[in-house]
Amino acid sequence: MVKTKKKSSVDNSDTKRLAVLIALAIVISLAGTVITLSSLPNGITGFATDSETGTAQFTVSALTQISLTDSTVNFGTCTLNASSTVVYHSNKTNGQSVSPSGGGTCSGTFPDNMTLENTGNKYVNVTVKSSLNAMNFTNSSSGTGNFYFVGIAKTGETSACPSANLTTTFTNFTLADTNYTLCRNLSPINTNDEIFIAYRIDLPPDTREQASKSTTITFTAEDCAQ
Amino acid sequence: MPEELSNRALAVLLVLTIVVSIGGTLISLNSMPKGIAGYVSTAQGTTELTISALTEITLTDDAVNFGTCGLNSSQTITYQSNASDGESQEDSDSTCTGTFPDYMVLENTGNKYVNLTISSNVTGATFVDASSGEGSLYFSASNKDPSSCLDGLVTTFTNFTLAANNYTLCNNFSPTNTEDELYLMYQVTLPPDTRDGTKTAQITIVGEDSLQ
Repeated sequence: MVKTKKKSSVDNSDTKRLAVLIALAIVISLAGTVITLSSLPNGITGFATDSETGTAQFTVSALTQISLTDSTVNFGTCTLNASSTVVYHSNKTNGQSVSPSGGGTCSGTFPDNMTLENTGNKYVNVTVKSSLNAMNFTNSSSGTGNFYFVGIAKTGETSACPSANLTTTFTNFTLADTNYTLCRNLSPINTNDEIFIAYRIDLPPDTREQASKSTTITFTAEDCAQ
Repeated sequence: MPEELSNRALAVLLVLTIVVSIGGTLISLNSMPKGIAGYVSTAQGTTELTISALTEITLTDDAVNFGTCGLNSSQTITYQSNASDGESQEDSDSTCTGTFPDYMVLENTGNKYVNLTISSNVTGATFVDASSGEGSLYFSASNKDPSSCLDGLVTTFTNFTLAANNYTLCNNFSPTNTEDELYLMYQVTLPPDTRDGTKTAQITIVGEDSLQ
């Protein structure tokens, strides 16, 4: 019993010494760390950063501009049919603008279209007008001749003016100097900003002979909402 | 009996720990070139000056304005803010109305060598805002003071193809007072269908301590 008590007393003494030593080790270690850190001029530093902000700026003005990169359609010399009205299309691919109903040819080179390009940076609505009405342009004794226009998508630029917005059926210039809708929302996108315009003439047998007949076609573009 | 041996061993280890800790502290303190400030003997009459590290860059000219730029109806047109012809014109058909050359000027106003990156809050295409989605915004740099940028200066026009993306501008941008300035210049390419309006990009330059 005595022996056990003595052993227990020794154990307690050792434990106390150990506790003191542990506490001393912790204090010294902490003190060393604090002294070391506080002696550094800037404390603990990593890769410091700084940033600055500026602006780059430019302005572009609105530009509403269309260009006729091909501004002429020439049917050449056209023949008549003594018994019926002959019809010629400038966009014919048969090379002669042969009348669909036969009976004649024009000497021009076909297809022959005007090319209209949106060279601005705005979507535009485009109208077309003729300085002469169809009757005066064809100039027949009966006054029954016609002169039509039509819009055609250019190959590779079919989104320039979607078909729903493009006048794709031949429309008669029944009135002179009157704006007819050609295209709504003609695109300014550089790779999709061109359309073709083709013409049709109906020549009755009594179309008067003339050296040549010409009319001035005017296109007008106006900014649209898009 | 085995417990007594274990405690002794532990005590030895603790003593060893204390010795190592004290030794480590002394080694750390001795390795500092100037020891611990405040511990210098006043009897020697030493005056000590401590300079803090300062990582700081400043845009002393923080804007480049091309002004109002014309377009070319048939092709993409290029303008450079550092053009020396006074009109930023690369194309005889069009000009911008700004005053050129027009640079941003970046100065290392700290005392640390820094690595620089540059970013734009918008991509080149978004900045130009053309219907076709074409168009670009480029950056480039040159030393205003000789040897301001010791390495990796981006001297060819580089497109901001990504927004808010850090592009390397310079490694080891010097803090030396006579060699601490850079020019930053910009190039825009404007397709014919560039939409009208004033376009602004926010350019952010970040400097980070480099090892040198």
